[in-house]
Amino acid sequence: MADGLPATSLTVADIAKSLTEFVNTEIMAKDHALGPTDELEAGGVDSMALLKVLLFVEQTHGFWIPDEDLTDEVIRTPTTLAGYIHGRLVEESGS
Amino acid sequence: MNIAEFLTDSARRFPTRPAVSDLETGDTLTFKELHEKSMEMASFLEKEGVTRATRVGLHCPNSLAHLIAAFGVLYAKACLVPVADNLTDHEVQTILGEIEVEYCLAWASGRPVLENGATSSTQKTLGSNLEFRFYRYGEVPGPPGFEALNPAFIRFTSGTTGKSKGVVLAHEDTAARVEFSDQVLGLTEEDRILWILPLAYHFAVTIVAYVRAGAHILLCGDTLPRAVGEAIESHRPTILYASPIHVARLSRRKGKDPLSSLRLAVSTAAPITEKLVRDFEAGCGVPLAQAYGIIEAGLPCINTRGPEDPVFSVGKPVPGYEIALFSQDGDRVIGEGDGEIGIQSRGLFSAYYSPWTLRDQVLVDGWFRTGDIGRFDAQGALQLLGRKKTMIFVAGMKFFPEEVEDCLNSHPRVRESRVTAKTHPHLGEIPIAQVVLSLDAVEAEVIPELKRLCAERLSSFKMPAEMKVVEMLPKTGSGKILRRG
Repeated sequence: MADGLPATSLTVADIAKSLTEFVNTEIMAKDHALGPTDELEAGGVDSMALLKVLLFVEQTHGFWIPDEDLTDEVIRTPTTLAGYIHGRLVEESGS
Repeated sequence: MNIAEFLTDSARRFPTRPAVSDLETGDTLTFKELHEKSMEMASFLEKEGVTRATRVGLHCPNSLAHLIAAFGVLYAKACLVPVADNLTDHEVQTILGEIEVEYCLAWASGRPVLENGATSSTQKTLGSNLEFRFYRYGEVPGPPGFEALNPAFIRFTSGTTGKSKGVVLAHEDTAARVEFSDQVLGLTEEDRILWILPLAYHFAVTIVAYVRAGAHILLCGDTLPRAVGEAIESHRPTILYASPIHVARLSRRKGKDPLSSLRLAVSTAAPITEKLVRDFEAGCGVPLAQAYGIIEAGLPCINTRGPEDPVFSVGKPVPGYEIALFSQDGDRVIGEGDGEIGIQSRGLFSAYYSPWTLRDQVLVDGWFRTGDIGRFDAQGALQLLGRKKTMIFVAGMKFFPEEVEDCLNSHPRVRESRVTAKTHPHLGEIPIAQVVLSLDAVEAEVIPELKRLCAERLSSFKMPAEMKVVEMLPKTGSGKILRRG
């Protein structure tokens, strides 16, 4: 779990921040950084790069996002994706 | 000969039939329109000084514009150098330099890195959604004998067998490949192909084969399985050409009808497992063809899953290809037994561009040695067993670990590094890195720097998913980095 915090203590904004940082340091070249509400696709995150994001989510949050959940709405921006991840974490913590 | 004549011919035979559609924009070009626009592009290029064997880069995402530009370059008798749009600036710069690219066509307003080294550039518009930026870098004669090969394409990739970069395909090589594979695939003007792979990597043979047959190419921009499934249901393609990751994701689609319009799904670009073939065929109700694709040779084996074909095999050699296996001592393996796969064919490549090496200097006793290990079954179908050289396959994209190691090693605090593949249930493999740092290095500083360095220089799929600092790397007896085990 990120920073060793219990899952549900992470907010959508926290998750969006970590996703944005990941995309900016490991996918995008330095000169065009994305913000948490910028469109991933318009910013240059192609389907191959999206798989790296899914891998990061798996490593950080412990689950692989199944294809059927990868709707346009979910993968539009770091924040929409964070919303989905947050929902899953809340679900899994059983609260 | 010029392979662009296949388009001329299809435009004559099927003027009003659709050649290519972009499912995202809804735009379609008929064969006549594709031919006319490509000719218009060719005359622009010729006016700019592009001529026989001029190396022209093409940096364009999957789109109608990509086909127009590519055929335009070929009609101008120039040599097409695809520069895939998912590459980093560093990779783009490397291609332009190593292949001595003289001009480059780019989608819409272009990309800043293409300005580097350009003496000038202009905008060229052939219609709506058909805007290009054209860059001029200055003429370079090219290596001796290059023009005489009648070169059509240069695919910038590490050669299968060594450090050579840039596989040169002559028009004749490409035409032979197209002819050979068509004997097995049996393409016709009734075929509709759902296309989800990057055109930059597959134009040379596959797309040319579809155009030659008069088939209709459907460009599906969205490669997520939901979108691909929907595209299959609404556009009723007859052929799907995809990498194993697409195949795996499609076979996991829940509660959907079989993809009944397909007569064939072809999996290429990376190794596949027997389980995946069975899952896909059971889940989708469509035979899954497996092709053995190798840039230096084309598609020497295709298993179309006919009644006699085994579930898991790349199939029998395609007519036009001779395949033999060789032992470690270089002797031919006769009958049963494993060996390195060697290929003879008119469809073999013509040269490596950098360093300049003609095909005949590469062949061993007339055979192209692939570095792949295989075995023939009793029916003569080929099974791939592995590689002599280590290659990493991430979601259908492949690369050599050395490329990533070179990047890591360029950091002043890295003494050496080792990149290996770790299997991943959804991506096939992922690269992981071990690095040995210099004594004065601070791990907490160097690791983020390494990540940034890789992100700048390498395409995202090559970027190590894990980076671990270690004291030392496993070595072979002769001091080389151990690649396996």
